[in-house]
Amino acid sequence: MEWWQFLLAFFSALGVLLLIGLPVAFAFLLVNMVGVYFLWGGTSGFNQIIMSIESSISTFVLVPIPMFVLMGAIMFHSGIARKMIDVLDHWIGFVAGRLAVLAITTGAVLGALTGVAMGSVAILGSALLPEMKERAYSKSMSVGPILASGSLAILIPPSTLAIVLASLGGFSVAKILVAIVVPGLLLAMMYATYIILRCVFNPELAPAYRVPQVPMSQRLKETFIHLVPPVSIIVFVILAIFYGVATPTEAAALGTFVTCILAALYGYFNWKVIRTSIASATSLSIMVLIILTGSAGFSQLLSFAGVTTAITSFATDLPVHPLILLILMQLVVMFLGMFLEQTSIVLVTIPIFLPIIHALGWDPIWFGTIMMLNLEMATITPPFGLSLFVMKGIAPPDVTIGDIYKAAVPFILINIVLMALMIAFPQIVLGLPNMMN
Amino acid sequence: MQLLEKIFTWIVNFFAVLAGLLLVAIMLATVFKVGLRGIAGQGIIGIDQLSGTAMVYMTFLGSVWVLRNDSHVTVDLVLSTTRAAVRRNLIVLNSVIGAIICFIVSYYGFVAVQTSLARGIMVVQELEIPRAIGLFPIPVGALLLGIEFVRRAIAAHRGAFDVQETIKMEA
Repeated sequence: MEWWQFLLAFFSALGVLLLIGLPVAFAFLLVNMVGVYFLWGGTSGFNQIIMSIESSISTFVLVPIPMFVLMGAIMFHSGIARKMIDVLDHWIGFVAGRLAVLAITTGAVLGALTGVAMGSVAILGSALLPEMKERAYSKSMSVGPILASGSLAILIPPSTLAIVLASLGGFSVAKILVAIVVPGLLLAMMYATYIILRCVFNPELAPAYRVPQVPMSQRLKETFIHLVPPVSIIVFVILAIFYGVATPTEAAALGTFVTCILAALYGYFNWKVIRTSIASATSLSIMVLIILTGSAGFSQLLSFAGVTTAITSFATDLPVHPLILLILMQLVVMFLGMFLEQTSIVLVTIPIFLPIIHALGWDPIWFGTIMMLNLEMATITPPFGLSLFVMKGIAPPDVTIGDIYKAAVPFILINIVLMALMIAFPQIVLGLPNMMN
Repeated sequence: MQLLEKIFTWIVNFFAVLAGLLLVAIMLATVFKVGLRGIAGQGIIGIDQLSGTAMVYMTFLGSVWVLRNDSHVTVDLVLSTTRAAVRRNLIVLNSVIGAIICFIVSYYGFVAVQTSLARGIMVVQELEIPRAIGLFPIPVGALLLGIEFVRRAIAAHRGAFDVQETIKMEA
């Protein structure tokens, strides 16, 4: 079988299995097994599949995933996150497009806590959409910012997807966690700037309304009590990784532990919070890790079938500028992002892309961060971006899927602008990681 | 039959609790290691390796509970847009396929554990532990998943999934 026939058969089978609703992890497992059966000549290779399942997830490189998820779950279920949002709400005051800006800042905070785009969209959509409607916000200025805020989750550290990407790509988890800091913050600022400018020039999009004035003394007090401590934990985790004081696993575990202490100091740490946080963190971690069980087997299959070598030669021999290759690779990611969730896309593409990245001499951290921005954008890209459907589920009935598509477009364009900047100026991504020890 | 159902539910819940406890144990062990390194200047050898092994246990033992809550990642583009009857048949189909995969993985998993024990294969990293210890949760978890997929197929056939679920929020 030629390499391209193998690849075509693999993706066709995977596509069919996914479309009939088989969970992603089991779809990967089945195509891996069928691939091994034909390539190894029978069931003798199944023993290797079992070994590869174990080796895919028994690495301590992946341990930060459940740790960060648990940290976020505790902040979320204990009410620490809610208090943080309230403080931000009081500071935002009379800014043009106030609720839309609040959606972005809250999205950045929730992103740091949850790392799950659809979760943020669902939470923010339920919380902010009714008030936006009441304040006569236009559909584009209510739906769009909430979609955008959800997509921030992937690029705001700590991001579980960054860990998955680094683990599968075999590059530094610490460096990619640090690398996404600048693009993530830049993206949040670009979103907020766009919203404010549009609302200044066209106030009808988000009519101003009177906000109860919160005295400065109260705002400062709230900030020091409810915002500074949890933000300090996140900053501490990132700085510990940045300065090499702790490995990402250690920093994540310490961050989680300190979050528990903080919740206890606030008086929020009761049995219900503990139980709910552990349950949701366990569930979410298993969802991600079980998908990764197919990763080692998939990479081995691609190598054995000659796909990795052939596709690298094919790509590097193409008579086009490397930039075109980069764009083509990102288009593939964007296309897959319309149908698949992010972990699966990383699982499918990284074993194919990585040899090309190495052959062309690109920095995998740089490529990975651009890819993450793209994955983030994919969740809000019509027609099938997953967050679009989540939004349709929670939006009022008069908001059509067409309205949601239109609202997403400006934010997709902002993502593309940032992606172009990251390609043109790699220091946006590599500046911080290059300063690490 | 009801007794079997109760026993299976108890096993699913027991392993879910165990998975959660493993998650907490990984966190506490790592904190303890870092704390000890800070105080005594030397951490404990093997925590990272054991954390990796604990992740395999957590994933495979807790996976059946995640499946029962219908929380595994799926692409529901087709499922969410089809009529109830088609949807029911698709869930039966994907559950049967899921069950077959899991039973095969379980069988070959037990074979791999047995082979590993018979050959005395060891994983030599910070600690030297039998490979079979890391492999063991895979066939056990896959067996439970296979049974749960069969339950799911039967439930779907009886119309349990005919009503569209509301959107779930993840923390």
